[in-house]
Amino acid sequence: MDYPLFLVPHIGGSWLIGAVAIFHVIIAHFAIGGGLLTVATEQIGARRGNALWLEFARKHAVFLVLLSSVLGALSGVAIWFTVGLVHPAAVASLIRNFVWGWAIEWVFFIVEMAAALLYVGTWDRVSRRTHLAIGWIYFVAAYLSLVIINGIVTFMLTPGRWLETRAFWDGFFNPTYWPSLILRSGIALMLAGAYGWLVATRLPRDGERAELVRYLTLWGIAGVSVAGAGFAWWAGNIPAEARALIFPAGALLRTTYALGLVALGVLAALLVVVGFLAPRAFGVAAGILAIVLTGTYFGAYERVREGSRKPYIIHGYMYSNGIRVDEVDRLNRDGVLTKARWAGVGLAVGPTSLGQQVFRAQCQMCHNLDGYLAIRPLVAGQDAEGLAAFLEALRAGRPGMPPIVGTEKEIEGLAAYLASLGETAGGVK
Amino acid sequence: MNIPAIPALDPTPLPAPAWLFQVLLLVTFFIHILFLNVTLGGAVIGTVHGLLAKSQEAPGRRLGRLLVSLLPASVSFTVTTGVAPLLFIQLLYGQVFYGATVLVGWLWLAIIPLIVVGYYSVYLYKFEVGTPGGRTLWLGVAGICFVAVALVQVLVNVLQLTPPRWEAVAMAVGAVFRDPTILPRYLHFVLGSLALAGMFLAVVAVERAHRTPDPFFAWLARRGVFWALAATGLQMADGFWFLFSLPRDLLIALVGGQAMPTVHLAIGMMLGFLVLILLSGLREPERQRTVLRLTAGVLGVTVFAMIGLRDVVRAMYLSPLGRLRELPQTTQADVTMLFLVVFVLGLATVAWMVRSVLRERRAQG
Repeated sequence: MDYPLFLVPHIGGSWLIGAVAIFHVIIAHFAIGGGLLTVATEQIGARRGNALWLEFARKHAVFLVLLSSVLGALSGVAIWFTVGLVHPAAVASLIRNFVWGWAIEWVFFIVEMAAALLYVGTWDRVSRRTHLAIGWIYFVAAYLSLVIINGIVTFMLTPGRWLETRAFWDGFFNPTYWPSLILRSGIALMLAGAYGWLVATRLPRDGERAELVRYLTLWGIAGVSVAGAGFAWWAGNIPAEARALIFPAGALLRTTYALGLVALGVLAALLVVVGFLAPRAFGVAAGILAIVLTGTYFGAYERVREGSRKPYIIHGYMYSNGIRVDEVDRLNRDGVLTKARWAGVGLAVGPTSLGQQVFRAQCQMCHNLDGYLAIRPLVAGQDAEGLAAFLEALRAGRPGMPPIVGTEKEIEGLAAYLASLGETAGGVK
Repeated sequence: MNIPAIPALDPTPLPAPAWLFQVLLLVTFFIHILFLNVTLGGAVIGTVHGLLAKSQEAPGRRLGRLLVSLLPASVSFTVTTGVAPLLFIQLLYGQVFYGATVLVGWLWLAIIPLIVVGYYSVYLYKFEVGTPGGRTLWLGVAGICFVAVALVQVLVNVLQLTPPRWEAVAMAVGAVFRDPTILPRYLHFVLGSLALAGMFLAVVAVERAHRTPDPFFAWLARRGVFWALAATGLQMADGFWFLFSLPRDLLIALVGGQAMPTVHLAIGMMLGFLVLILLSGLREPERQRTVLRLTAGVLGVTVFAMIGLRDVVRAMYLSPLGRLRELPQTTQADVTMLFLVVFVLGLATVAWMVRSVLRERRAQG
């Protein structure tokens, strides 16, 4: 909020981050699971002298590296860019705390990329032993990246003892660190199995393929079991405020959570039925369905995790609009615009400009005028006096929403601005 | 300097002394720049020679094929090595970094699709999509993308250093171009890339010619040296333009006003002249392997010196913010050590992999 504001029209900054993040996490987890699948399959294929398995591993590897070294790597940078634009205060704070974590992850990233390029570039051109060693290095480095970044991502929802100690390891090994690591490992396996199915549909239909499909099914089932266990553990370790947003009837995230569980269950059934009971049903449709179900489950989990962190960006420390918990009293006394000094830049001076600045400073991070979480319909037909009373009550916050902060005058200005928005909504248009 | 609204500093202390992060920033940025110069300069040089070539067998086309075998790795390492300096710059200069990137947010984000398009274009050439032997067009697309990314980076860099311009940019984003240093600074960057990429190609050519004599390598060595020489010559003129475009107090500090900046500038310029002299002595680089290696080494040292100078200039620009070493700090000693250990082990792992591959490939002939 101290920073100039990056406002994304209609969808809001959080969905911009969401779009980039969904894209990235799928590739990133696929790189881990797919990496393990590739090198393990190469190893088994080489030991048994099975040309089909080796060919499968090779095809898998080329696609994996083309995808992960370009789109995977750059979408990871893109998340960092978008989060930095939308939540600069949060990123600044995270980097101050965890710069060494990121620096360590960066080393793994370098090793991973070097190994990936060498693995694909030297297939059949170096000894099997060396090639497998490079493949394993690739997988281990990719997995270690997850081991690190998982500490920072989970920290944001459950900073745990860090809130008192401010110590690196307290924040890193926080209450959802291990559940989340297990859950994500499971997702990586699921993605590997599902994508493997799709690749296998292009192989000649014979007994050898059937054996490969059964093997890939085991990967998928292992993934579902591990992810399911991680998910249950995770749900038990999140803060009470987060649970309140997920589990009660009518809660914001209940449907998404349920959707994730259903996708996981259907995927388990699909794997067992097509993989073992009715192998003749195996085909492109089954492969695509497996990928869609994995993506649905994964997307639901990420949405629930992000959504249940509200109203915080760092739970208990910083609200999603960039105001730190420890700043609230000062801002109520001195005014929120003493912090949000960029909110007024570029605004025309008028009777509602104070309120508009306050809105830009603390509301517009989540609420667009129209579009996602639109504010206009919420205030339609209300007058400034009623809105001011309502906003005063919001100083205590409400589930999922940071407390309104600012001086009385600022809140009145905000009410006047919102009332003017409501007029437009209820008027000619 | 009048600063309207520099964002407040994050209250969290630095987890190690500022100097350690500064050293890491400079070293990782140096490595990043080496890969970046090969990527950007290589794509441009390859496009030019590809367009000049009259047949598929002309050396300009062979250069294209050589480049697309090298570029995927160099693009990849430009990206990966770029992450570390970006991390450390945010740690040390977050106050101005986020402000500048937010003000030109969409331009800043455009970097990502530009790199993706550039990267996959290289692969389109490599996999000979459309034309057997590959199309120069794809290399050209990559070159344009990379040159555009460099422009955005320069715009953001200059904006970070000049918070007094922020308000104008917030009102109209076009104002981001309005600073006298932008054009000479950008040229300085692109010319440096061309010089370093030319040098790199000359070294590759001479090392390969040493193993397998081929007239193509002699051609490439001479062209490489030519690019390095021409770009470094122009760099001299542009360097003066850049210097005199700087704010007056900075200019004065650099030309005698303050000892440290002046010495830095003098060292950088002397090294630049030395590179120029060495390059002009390389009349038959394919026969002058030792001089060529020496020149490449001096060019590398020059780049490092210039990065140091760049840091000195940044510190002068941002002096109103206070000194880095005065930032609050509590050392996370164990995590700091862990990073250093992982860093060394990581580099050793990469070195082991590369060495194993090279040894086996050599054994196979």
